[in-house]
Amino acid sequence: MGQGGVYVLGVGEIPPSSSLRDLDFREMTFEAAVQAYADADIDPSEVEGLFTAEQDFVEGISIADEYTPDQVGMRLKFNMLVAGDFLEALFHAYMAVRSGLMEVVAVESHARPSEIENYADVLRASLDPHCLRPILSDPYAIAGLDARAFLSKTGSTTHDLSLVVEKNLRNAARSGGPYGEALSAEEVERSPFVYEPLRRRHVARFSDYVAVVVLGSERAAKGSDRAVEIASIWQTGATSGAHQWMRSWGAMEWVRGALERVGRDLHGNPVRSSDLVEFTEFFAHQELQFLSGLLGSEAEALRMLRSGDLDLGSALPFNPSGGCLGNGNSLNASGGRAFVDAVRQLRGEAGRVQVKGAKAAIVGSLHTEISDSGTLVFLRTGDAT
Amino acid sequence: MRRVAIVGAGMTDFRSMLPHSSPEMIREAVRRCLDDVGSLSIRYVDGVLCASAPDAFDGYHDKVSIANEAACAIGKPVTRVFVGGGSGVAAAVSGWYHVASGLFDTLLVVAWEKMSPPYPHAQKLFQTIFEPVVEQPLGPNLIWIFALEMRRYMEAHNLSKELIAEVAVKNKANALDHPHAQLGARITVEDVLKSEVMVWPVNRLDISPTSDGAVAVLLASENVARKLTDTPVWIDGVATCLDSQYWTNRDLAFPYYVYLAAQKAYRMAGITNPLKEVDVWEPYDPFTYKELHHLDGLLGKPGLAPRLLKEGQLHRDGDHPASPSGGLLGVGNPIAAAGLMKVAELYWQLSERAGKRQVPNAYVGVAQAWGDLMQVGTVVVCRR
Amino acid sequence: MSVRLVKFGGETLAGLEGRLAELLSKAAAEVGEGRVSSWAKALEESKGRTEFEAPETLVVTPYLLDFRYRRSTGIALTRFLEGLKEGKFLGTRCSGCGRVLIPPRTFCEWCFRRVDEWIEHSGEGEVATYSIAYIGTNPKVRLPKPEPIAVIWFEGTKVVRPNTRTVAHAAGILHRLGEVEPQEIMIGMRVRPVWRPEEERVGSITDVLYFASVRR
Repeated sequence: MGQGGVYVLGVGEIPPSSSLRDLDFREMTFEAAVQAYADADIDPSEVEGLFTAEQDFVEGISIADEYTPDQVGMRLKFNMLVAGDFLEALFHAYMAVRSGLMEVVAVESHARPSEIENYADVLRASLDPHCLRPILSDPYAIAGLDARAFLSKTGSTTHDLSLVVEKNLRNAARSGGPYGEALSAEEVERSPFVYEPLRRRHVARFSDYVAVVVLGSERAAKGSDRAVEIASIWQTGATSGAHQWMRSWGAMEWVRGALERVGRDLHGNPVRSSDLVEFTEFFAHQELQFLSGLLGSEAEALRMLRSGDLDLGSALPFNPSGGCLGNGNSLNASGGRAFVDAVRQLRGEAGRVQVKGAKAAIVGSLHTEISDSGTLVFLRTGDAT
Repeated sequence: MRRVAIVGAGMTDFRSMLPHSSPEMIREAVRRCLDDVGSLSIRYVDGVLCASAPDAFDGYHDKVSIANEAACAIGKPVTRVFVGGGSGVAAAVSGWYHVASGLFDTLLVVAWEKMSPPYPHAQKLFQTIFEPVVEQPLGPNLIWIFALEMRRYMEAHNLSKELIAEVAVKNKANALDHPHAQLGARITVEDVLKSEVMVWPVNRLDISPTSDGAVAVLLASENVARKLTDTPVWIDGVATCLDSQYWTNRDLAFPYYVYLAAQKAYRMAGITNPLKEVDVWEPYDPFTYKELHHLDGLLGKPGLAPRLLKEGQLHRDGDHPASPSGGLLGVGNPIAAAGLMKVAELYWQLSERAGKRQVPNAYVGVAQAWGDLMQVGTVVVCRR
Repeated sequence: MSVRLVKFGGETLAGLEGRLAELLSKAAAEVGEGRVSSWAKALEESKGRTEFEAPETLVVTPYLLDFRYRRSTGIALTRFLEGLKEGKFLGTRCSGCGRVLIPPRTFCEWCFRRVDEWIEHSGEGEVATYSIAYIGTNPKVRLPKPEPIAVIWFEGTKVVRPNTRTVAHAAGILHRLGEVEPQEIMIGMRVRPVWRPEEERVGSITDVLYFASVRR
């Protein structure tokens, strides 16, 4: 028992939306769970445990895991709350299945940014209270600093960031993402600066979202021709603490570490064998930073962007779903949205944004919008191995 | 299954108003833990798992960043788990699957809580654990739910406050032998009953204090563990179990979720008769009655623990020593750290390093924590 | 050795509205009176017990967390609150296990199925357990009058596990008790809701003032 492969048996979601829903978070999550269990063709009684990704102040409830079990049918079962992004909870669930502790588990995350009146204050509270909070009235200014460092280091311009926005909004318009639209890079450039060099359109808007994913061991996945394998996953912490002093500005150091580990697991370069990438770019420059980390070269990342190699139908479609710019920033559930979109790609169920013949994908997510830590997942279909 | 061992542990003093910052507390606990493993270099640690309960205590959102540098996690995997008061033992459960999965050979598990910053009192923050629509408007506080549960438990087994008070007498006396304890003391049942009533039937001395503190434990895979120490303590059973959020729809007399978690952990560890096979218990005791209530769940026999207490069997020299560390009532209750302290105590007891607290012939131990809205049980079974 | 309190001036409170800045200054003043001596004592005691040398002066910086939410109560709780406004307890019933669910939900957590049958309940029931609060959220401040609180289980909704006395389920809520002396309260005591006058109800759990004993 244990140590074998871990598979995605089913996924369910309430698609991202900017508007406040009539359902409360429990009712909304119940709908996603019903969908996930149906998708996995499994009775919830067969699911042994629950992993959730929540943050107290995003929920507006202290000890948020109190309110997680009932709506996913996980009352009186194993439970673990991971305080971070969906992919971090997935990392825990993956280890729990691999260890042999459980055969089938559910991973859940939801976010309702529409219900938080002063989210900037919440995020600001993740910064050092003595040295940073009195100085930064808006924590997104950290992203501005990071974007400036990236541009200056790579010789790129805000126009490059606008190209990312153009592509992701175009993809979202096809995928049905709430913020999809046809908007040229030039039009993006006309939006005002918010955290220079970031313009308003370089920043993802918010959306409410829920994802429920069912994972199973090799044995549980047997017989399913749609199961997608989590071939490898690794999380890496930040280069700095809450004060951000030591942060390696302008780059995502964590990607290198995570990629190295995933490559070791796979005995090969996961980037080369990937047909697409889904990543939670809360700000346009983060997409380029992540890609630079994957390729080990900022120049190559910029070249691919400028030559259209990241577009749908080209070499390495990056965020075919439209990413966070096109689907919205769903806080700690953002990684769940990227993950579900990637699973659908590998099953050939991505509709108008389907990457033809997609057999393997990289999914990445940041811990929070302004942290430089994250999680990297390599997914593949049964016949990709 | 890959076997997972505890190879070292360290902790700070548990104190109210500890002047050190959270990173300083974490650093101190981690250093003591690594010193315990023959001054192991932090470089040999593959990753860090943190546990700390509500973000609100530290006054941070997303407080994993507090531990990032203090535990030297830069460039390594570092995540944070919590299940309310159950967090400390949940961290050991989560740490177990980190190593058992084969992804980690060594993992540092760090738990801390800094409860003194909130002003005027941490209790105010506990208000936000209640259902925001149907409960928060009533202005509840955390002690309410303990009092409600205690009253129900007393009714179910016809228990007196005098008997329950003996838990405080026992644990505070045990804590006198703990070098990091906050409230070790020799008190009497009278003292407990005469201390002021907070929320009837709960008196002040029925309650563990609010504390600051940190605990670190190093886990290792079997091969590595044997290289690092001659006295590994194996984690042979792990489980958590979460009951419904609708706690007003449940009977609080018996912690069914603790029972289910314990049964799973015993099965995994091959234990069939816990009362016979377990030599040392560290049940979660944030309030006096809770130690008995939880032991009932762990033993699977409602009402048994109070009888054992009456017979003196839960004392350190009894047949079924419970909270030989001094527990939360004696050592202190920095929430997540308190749970992990119980796991560390098993490590000290089972590797015969518990000093004056040592329980003779301790081979198998069980640590348990509890949290949320009287809802979650987290259990580990350890073996020498 | 001393403890110094840093008080933020208006300018260092970047981004805070006037009201918050005011609250923060007030909190800072209170901390100054209430807690400095405790910090100082702890500082003194920690000397020589850690690898960190205790500073001569401990600096305390007050800051305030103020997060605001506007919560959607959803289908089930919205109807529940509207019911309260009309002086009724509304619940749902699961067609699988037959349980009455109060507070209501649109799903059953036992059967994991959708629930849409609504029922109305008088709100009469029994005290499942109770307590008497002498303190609020600040343990150092005694309440002027002790407050009895209880979990109320609604009449006719109990599911008892066969062969044991354990109640597996009962529709029930947390609330206060009124019109009763603390020593008269007992587990199993029958109670009824006492409502606010109709014109004062707003659709909140506090539209019920408290539960009072039903004397027979």
